[in-house]
Amino acid sequence: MSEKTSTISLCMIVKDEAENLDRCLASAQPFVDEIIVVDTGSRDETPAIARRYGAKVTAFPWQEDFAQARNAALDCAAQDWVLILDADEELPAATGKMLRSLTGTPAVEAWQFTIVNRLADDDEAFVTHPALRLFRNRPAYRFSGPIHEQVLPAILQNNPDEAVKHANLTIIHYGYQQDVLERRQKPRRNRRILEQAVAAEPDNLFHHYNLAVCCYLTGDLAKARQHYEFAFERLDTAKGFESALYRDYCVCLYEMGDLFQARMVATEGLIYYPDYPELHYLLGRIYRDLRLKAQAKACFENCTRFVDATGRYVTSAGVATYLPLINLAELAAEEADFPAAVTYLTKALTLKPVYSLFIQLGGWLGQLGRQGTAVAAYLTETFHLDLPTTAQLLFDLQAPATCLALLEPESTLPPPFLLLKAKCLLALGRFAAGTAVLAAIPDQSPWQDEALALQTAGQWLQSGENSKPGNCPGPPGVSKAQLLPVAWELSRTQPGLIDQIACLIAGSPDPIPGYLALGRYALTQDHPREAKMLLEKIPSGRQTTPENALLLGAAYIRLGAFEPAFRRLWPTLANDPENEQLAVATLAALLGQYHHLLTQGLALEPEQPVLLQELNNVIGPLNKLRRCQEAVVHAETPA
Amino acid sequence: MRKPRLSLCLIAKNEAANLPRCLNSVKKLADEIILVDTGSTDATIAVARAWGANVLTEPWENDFSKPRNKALAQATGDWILVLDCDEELDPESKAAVRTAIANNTYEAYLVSIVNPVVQGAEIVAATIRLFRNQPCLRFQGRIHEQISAALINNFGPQAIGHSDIRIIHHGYNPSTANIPAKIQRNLNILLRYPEAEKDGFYFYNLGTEYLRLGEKEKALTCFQQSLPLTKPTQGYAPSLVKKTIATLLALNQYREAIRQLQHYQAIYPEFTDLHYLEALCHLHCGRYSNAKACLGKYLALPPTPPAFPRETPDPANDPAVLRNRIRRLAIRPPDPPLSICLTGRDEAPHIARCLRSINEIGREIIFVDTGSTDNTPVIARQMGAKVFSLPATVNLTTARNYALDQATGDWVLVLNADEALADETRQTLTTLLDRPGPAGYQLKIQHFLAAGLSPGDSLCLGSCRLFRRRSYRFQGTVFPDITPAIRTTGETVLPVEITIHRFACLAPPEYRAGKQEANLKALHQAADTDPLTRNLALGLACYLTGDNQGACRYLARNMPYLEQLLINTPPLPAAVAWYCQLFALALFHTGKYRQLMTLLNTACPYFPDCTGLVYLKARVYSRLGRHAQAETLFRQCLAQGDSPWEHHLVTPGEGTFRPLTALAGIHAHRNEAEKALALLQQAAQIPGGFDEAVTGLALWHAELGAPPDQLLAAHGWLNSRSLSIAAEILAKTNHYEASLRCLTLAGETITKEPPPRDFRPLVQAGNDLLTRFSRQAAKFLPGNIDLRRLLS
Repeated sequence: MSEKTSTISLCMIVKDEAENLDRCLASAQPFVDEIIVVDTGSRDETPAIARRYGAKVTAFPWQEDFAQARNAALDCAAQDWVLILDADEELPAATGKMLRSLTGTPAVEAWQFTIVNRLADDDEAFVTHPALRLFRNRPAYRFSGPIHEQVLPAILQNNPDEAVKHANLTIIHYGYQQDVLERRQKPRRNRRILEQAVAAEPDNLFHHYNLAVCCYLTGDLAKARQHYEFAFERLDTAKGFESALYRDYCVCLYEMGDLFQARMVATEGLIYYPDYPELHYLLGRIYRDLRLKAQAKACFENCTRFVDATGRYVTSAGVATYLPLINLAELAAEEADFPAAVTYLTKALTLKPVYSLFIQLGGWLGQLGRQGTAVAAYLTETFHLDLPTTAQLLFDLQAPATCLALLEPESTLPPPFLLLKAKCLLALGRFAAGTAVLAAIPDQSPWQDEALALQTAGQWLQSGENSKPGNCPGPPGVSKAQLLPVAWELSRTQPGLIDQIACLIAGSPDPIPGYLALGRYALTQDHPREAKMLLEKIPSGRQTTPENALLLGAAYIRLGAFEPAFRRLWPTLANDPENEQLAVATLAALLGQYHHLLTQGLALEPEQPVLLQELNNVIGPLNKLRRCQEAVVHAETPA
Repeated sequence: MRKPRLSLCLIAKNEAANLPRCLNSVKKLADEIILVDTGSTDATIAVARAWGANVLTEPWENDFSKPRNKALAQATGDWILVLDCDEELDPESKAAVRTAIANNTYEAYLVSIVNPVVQGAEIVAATIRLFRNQPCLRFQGRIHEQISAALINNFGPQAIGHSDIRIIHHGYNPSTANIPAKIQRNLNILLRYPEAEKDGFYFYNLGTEYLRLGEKEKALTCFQQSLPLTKPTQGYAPSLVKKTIATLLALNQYREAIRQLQHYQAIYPEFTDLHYLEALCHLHCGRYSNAKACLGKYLALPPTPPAFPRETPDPANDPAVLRNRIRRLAIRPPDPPLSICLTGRDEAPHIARCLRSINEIGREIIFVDTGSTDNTPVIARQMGAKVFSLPATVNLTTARNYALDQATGDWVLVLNADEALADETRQTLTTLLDRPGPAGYQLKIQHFLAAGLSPGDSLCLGSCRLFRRRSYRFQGTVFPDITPAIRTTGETVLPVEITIHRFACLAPPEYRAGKQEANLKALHQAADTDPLTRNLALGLACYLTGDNQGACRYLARNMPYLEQLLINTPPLPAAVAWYCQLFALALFHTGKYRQLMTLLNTACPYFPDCTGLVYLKARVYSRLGRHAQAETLFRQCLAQGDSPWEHHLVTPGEGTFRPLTALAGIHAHRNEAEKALALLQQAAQIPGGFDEAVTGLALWHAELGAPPDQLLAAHGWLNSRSLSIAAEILAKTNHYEASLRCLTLAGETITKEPPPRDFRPLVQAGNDLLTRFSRQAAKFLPGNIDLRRLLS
């Protein structure tokens, strides 16, 4: 077919987008023949910016209806095809260059793209979804819906399904960069509009679906569930949002703890979308929680199979790549299959390096008998980690000697490494050498505070048991808050010196307040084992304040020792029944133990119906309690 | 001679995960691989190319034959092997393939498709997958596409050879395959079939998909459409028969299943599995002798030949094991004299259990349905009963007498549909019938009061339910009784230790509520009954469903007349005794001790053999702290033993383990731990007394001087059940720490116990502990509604 090259109109609707518009128009201008901008009442220089790029700018009064505004832009478009972009989006050059070949494809009426939602501080997408953005300019193709306006129904009304294709190309969306406040405001505003829309058209499933999403985003899961369910129960013909509905409804149910219903939704979803990776992932998580390990494994393995299909579905980052691998690694570790755990986690970490997971990997390597230098070698060779990261990892893996061996050959170390080196030396009991290294850190540098704290601690420990806490040797100006992290790190590597370190923190010969402060700090750093060890040094009977019991209980709970946690929390609660935090923690211990008993039974008889049913009943309250508990621990964090 | 070349032909969509296993199985055997992809979004095409396949693509058009034939058209080999991607050639079968294609006799071969199911069991089906590459051989059918029609049309059936080739199919492993997706895909194809192409095979396939979706009714409809369109000689016919029977079985349509089975046993004498299936039908209906006979036939015949669908049965249902297991249950005499008369309305949750309990010993079962709105009569008929329908307005007496009119045997056993004859007494009952003796027997009716079916939580009473079939008819409206009719003829009615269990408590709660409402309404409307009897019936109905308040309300109405009755009408009719015992129980459970003491003081002297009344009196004294009097009375209970059930309402244990446990409590309070423990030990050894003794042990652990788990261990009672019971009673008495400890131990213990494990006591205790604890915790946190809602 010798068709002449088709032309493209870019159609946008904008309001107060001066901040974003440049990026968007600069990216798209080279690839389109005309730019139509419908302005719905900007008070900034949006129209001026648009004109700079040669756009035809039309003012259009905002009437609480996105479709109307979009269609006003379409009415102005004079070219063969229409490209839709939002001002906070960007057309990557790789996509732009392909537009002509898309518009030149016969028998295709419209193209879908993958919208990549990007966070400001992260180079990576956290969720992607498909959207129809390029279609032939025909009078019949008009948007509908006051919010979440769509043009797809109009196109499908006039064409077979095959006329709409996915281009496998991306458009970048920066909308999620807005500050947190606005991210919460937007769903609230949308919720109002959508509630009106649902009232006006109670049978419109798309309205119910969007309202459900809004409710979910504002934290109203119960309401979200109602609207999801309404749409879910009535789905019959293709509407374009079914796959997303399965995913979102399933996520909502999962978070509410109704695993049975969530499983049903995910399984049904996979009947229609067998290559939707996120549904496989969700089902895997559900099976994991239900302790059906074989099924969970199969699901996670399925996730990675359909990585190519992710662009066609709403997809969270990682569900087809590293997240299932992390789950497979954890499942393997649960069965003490550490070689497999290491293999899976290594694969996951090559796809997405996460510091805390490197620590986890180090722990599993330890289970396989690899220590110190062997771990260092594995990490650097496998992941090509740089020296700083490796050194920090080794220190955090409590291998100060290996860390030091790595740092020592370096002749000139920048201050952060000097700090690390000093920590290693102090951890190894070489106090003099440690304080000497610290001397090299320049005054007035950002590292000076930490250096001073370290120095204080080092000198204190060096002075041995004769020292009196009253005459703390450090220079003035080292606060307890600064001292605490340093003291904690040293106490981890030098268990023999714990009493002395506690005295330092306490600022008195009585170490008990020091244990308490260190224990609490350890808990906030997610080291419950050490926290428990420190807090247990406080003699019971004496000073069993609700606070002590609460912290020790929290440590036990984090360690999965729910029964001992209950034994410590309950008598305290009985004496202080109005203490809300204690009540929450005690209940969490009780529920945690019950949950543990149920899962223990399920490990023996995986599909035991009585246990499975009870587990499903327990998980909802358990999730809620966990959220309460996290709030408690965070409230405990010293300012 | 040139070695014949083999082409492997595959079609695939999103099979990247399976493909390597499949292709690896034909390595060094297939000379070329042709794969037609129908729209994969995974790495299928790349994987196939990596294995050297010639890959073609074809848009999916809801027709399996199209891509299959596209692959065939591309093949250049002399022979074609067709595999699915989730299949593999059995490694042992490579040689068989080589031999087959070197042979000049046949155009095609039948191979075995092996579906491994659980634990080594497999289902095997035969089909054609290996044939010569000829343009006239093409697949037909949009789904379950077959080459056989083309083969037979062109070369006749003799061109198809048998082979030992095995193909292993992995697609049915539910943990790895997305089976629902496959079913949906198949259904999409089938439901779009043009009307003209719908034949017996079509309905068979459609039914199969519905069966896999769990839609049994739809599946059965399809199979029943398929059967008349299918000739017994057609290849899929035996499978159709087998699936039809399996579906009928799953839907509890045993009568229909047996009818079909007997028809096809004559058509396919070699298909011996049909006898096994018939045995299963009889087993489900409780006809053990018939089941034994069928199993005997099955075991005596040679195994089903490979042309029929075969499966290795699940070891739990192995025919020989099964026959051995039912050996002692098969007690049917040659011509049983017993007619069984059943009555009931809306008893779907119960009637199957009832029929299973008596089908073995009855010559006939007459079920009189009084206006069911559920499928009760259908179940009854399918399990072999003769069903008669009366309107919902008739009362129980009329219904029973109507059933008696239909009976033909020398003896009659009368049951309600929510009752069942206790298994261990079936044999006793049959031997009774051969002997001379009284005209009627009074049987023990045991009403279970809670779903745990603990004998300790039941109420027993006597009722004449077994009698010679003469002109006797039931009398009375609210308490139908045949005894007076027998006695007026000068014959006698004697008690016999045969138990009938009543399971009303097992029905789902909403079901029970509906029944109770209807029951009370009917009792209220029984206008011809005197008010005293009616109040007793209403009180009993309330008590049996756990409604003690309601029972008190009705029974209190008779109280003003009690003394008059007691003084004026010796010898006292059983109804008066029942009234006193029932009212006493209801008052005790509602804590109305003052009223109870008045009642007991009035009634006790008239019923000296009634242990239940003494026991309740002792319990009241005990509650009031008058331990000396209580002790004397508990000892009196022990001396008397349980009341005779033929005269009284009996709470099992009232003369044995209950007073023993109570006495233990008294000793515990006196710090006489050893005496207390000895009594508990004694109580635990009495049938039904274990739970009660454990409860006592946990309750008084402080007085007995050790934590509950240690006490249990010291008595050798340490198991998950006792620990769960202890955890529950400890939670109820606010000993949360000890309760959690017992619960934890119960959880650990149960993992060490052999199956079958009963997790219900554990879950019940855990639930109780959680509910009580959170209620307690929330009590002091009036502001925190969230916490209270947390567990609701």
